[in-house]
Amino acid sequence: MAINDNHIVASFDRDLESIQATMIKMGGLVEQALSDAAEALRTRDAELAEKVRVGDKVVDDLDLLLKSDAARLLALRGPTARDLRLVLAVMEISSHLERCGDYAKNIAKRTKAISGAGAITGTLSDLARMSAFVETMVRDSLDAFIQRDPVKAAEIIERDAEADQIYNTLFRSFLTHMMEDHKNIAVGMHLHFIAKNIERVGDHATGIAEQTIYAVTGALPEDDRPKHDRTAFALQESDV
Amino acid sequence: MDDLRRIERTAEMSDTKISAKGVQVFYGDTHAIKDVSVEIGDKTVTAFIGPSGCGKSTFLRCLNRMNDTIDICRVQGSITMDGQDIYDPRVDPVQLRAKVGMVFQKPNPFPKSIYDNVAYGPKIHGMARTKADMDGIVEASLRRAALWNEVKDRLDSAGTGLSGGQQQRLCIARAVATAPEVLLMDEPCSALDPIATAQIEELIDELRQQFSVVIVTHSMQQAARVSQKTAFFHLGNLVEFNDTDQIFTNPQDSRTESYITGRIG
Amino acid sequence: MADTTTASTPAPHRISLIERSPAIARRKRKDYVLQAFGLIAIAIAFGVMFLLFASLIRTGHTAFVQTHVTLDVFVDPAEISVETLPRGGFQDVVTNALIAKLPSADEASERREVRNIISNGAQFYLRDLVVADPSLIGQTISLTVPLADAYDQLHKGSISRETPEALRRVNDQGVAWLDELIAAGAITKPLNFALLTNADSRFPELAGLRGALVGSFWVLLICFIIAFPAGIGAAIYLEEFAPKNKVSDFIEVNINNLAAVPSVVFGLLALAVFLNYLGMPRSAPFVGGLTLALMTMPTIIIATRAALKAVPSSIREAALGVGASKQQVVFQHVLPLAMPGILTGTIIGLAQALGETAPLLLIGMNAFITSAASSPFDAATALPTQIFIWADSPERGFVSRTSAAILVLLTFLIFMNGLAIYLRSKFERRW
Repeated sequence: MAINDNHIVASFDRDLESIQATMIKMGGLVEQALSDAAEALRTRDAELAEKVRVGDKVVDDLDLLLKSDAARLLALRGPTARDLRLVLAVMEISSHLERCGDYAKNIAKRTKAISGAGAITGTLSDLARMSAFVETMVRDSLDAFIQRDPVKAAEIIERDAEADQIYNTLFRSFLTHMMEDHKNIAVGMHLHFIAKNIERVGDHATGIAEQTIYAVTGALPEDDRPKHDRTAFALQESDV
Repeated sequence: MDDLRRIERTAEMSDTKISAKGVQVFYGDTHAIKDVSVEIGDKTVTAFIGPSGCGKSTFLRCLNRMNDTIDICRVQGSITMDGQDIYDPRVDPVQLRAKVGMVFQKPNPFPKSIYDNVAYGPKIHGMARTKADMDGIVEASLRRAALWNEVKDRLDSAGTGLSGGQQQRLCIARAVATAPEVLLMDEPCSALDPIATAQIEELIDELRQQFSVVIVTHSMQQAARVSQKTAFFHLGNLVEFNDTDQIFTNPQDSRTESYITGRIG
Repeated sequence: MADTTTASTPAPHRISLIERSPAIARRKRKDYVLQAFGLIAIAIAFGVMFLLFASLIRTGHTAFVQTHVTLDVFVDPAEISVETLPRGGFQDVVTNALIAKLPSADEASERREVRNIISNGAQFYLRDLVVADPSLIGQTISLTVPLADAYDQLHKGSISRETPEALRRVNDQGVAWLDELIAAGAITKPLNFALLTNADSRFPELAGLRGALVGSFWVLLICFIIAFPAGIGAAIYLEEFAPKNKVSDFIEVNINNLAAVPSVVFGLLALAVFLNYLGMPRSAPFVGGLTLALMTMPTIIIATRAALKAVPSSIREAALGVGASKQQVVFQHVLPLAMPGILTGTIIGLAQALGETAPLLLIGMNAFITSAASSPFDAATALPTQIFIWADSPERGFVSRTSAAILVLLTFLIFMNGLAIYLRSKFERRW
């Protein structure tokens, strides 16, 4: 009995490849949206921001398509073992990617909102750095899934700590700026939400990496993902 | 990739190959098939599912007039293939069965050599004039049944010496040797192990590019894997007939749903 | 789903695997008793068969050897000349040779008694040699001829030397002559191939089964030629093509009954219809074969139907599914697969026919025929009827020959049945 990577029934393989292809397509679109949103923020490009906002619909449609294809695959093929984990993982990743797309859209909306106002200096470069960082996390987490590499995925999970650190720094920056000049508060709030969205994208990239570990090893990741977001405790420290 | 997915997902608007309208079948006094109407598409796999005794095998055997061999069986209603009524008295059942091939539940190769098994149908229908013609037909049929590479060096050995899965593929080769247009399969995998079953299912997937395939199966999972259209029979009635992914994700009739989810026997 | 029971069920009684319960012991006893009965039954059957063979061999073994005397025969040209062949004084020539071997015999007075020592057929044996090769005239050749029945029996011991002379077939003088010949080393007892190569004769020492064997061969051949195709054809029609209604049921019942009809009834039928009404030749193997065909046909029909029924319907369905017509299914698929069963049934039927006596007697195949039949229409005997004839004959020599003939018949029957069993096991198919 020859052990094969392919199923005896070739159309089963085609169905599995099809939903993975949809997922990859979503991933590409989401990475592009994040990159465009960051660019729009840096150059205050309202048109680019609008393009990102509108483009999120495609990502949402792909998510619906993937979910219905996955449901059909589960109903008709009855996959088991690693095939089952693959389908479940792809469905989860699709949800994560759809949320990332939503965050990119939100970043773009807020970029439009502050396009006229002045910048809070110093923060934009940090924002750009964080955005590039999480964009890489998303790309790497999808690569890790395609390659079925749990070691690479674990490393991505660790990386989220750095994204959280940048967010902490930015949070303090925004507080300082808003406390300095109350005219900065509106911009500061928007920028803060933008930073929070980028940080959440990083969390979702971690979620994607966890699905890689699940798909390969079958172990569901426990809920001890490193959370280095200290902002929830910030009020106690500053004693305002 | 998108086109591929679309073709495999939905049964495209293919031509109707066999059209059955108001078919009733009686075994003596027993009313076995009650007013069944169904359209079998060309180049499509249509599955008949249902609990034991629901009449799916009986209906299948009406499509190639195998029920004629049973004295007490009466068939009423209309069954047409390509517009021609197959129960017309001028139609010769022998000719019909060359156009509508059948594969049975238990592999039943003739106790002859592999070559003679496949060559028998073409021989009695006079399809080959020379030995070279016949060799060609035999090779093509065995290739189409994905059996050629395994048996090409021993065409003269007995057909009954093959394994179960190979025997069933031999029966499929025998059925396609007469160049049929429709292939009827009555629970073809129920006597086979899972690997042989998967091989036959892959084969059915390839065959449907050329023939219209109707498969009766008591495994609804097999129907889900293999067919584009599914008909659910219950107590002699056709309860629901629809695209397979519709039947298995969102059936219309509650009886269908009960059967598929395992809530009735 | 489970409702609580008010009454508690008693704890399950634990049964030890080692202890014997009385019910089990009783059952074991019954098994032993049944086995014992079976073995006793087999022992009785074998015992009876053994007795049968033992008595046959005891009485018949002497017929398988034949006492011969070797003489130096001078083919006297005075008695035998080429021109008068095949007539000639062969008897005198042979007698002379014998007298030469018996110095104590007085030529003139005891010539006739001396002549009675050797078989009457010796002269014809010499005649056939000379006719084949006339150059033998004038030569002295060595001739081995059988003794007459009385001396043959004497030498084999069936005629006891102790019996008083008045009651003995061979007188003391004859006994002395025999001893003289034995002392001279002229007596031999080779295997009696003549039993199979000679035809029937008035003289036991010359009697053989050739006529019967040829007659039986013709009878079986005619029986096979008629019964085999007709029986198979009828069975195929009844099994595969006839509609299942009251008429076919009626036919089936009648065929089964025919198989049970006593054979003598068929003999009477043959006598009345074939011989009297149609005027066919009496004692002919053709008529015998016809009669036995009528008897064997029901057997063949029943065996063929069973063989056809045993072919599984999956083969028929497969053939129909490929588009074969009913005839093609039957003749190209079912019949070849049923053939081993059909052949077995046929061979058994023919073996039965080989041993049938009553119908052949009634058509006259117990006539005294001294030459083998050359065609099925000549008068002939068959093995069982030949046995019947010999059993009736008074000569002592025929007693042993009857048993010997029965052994020959049994050998053929065992061979045919063994062949049937061999064929059946060789071609038996496991579906």
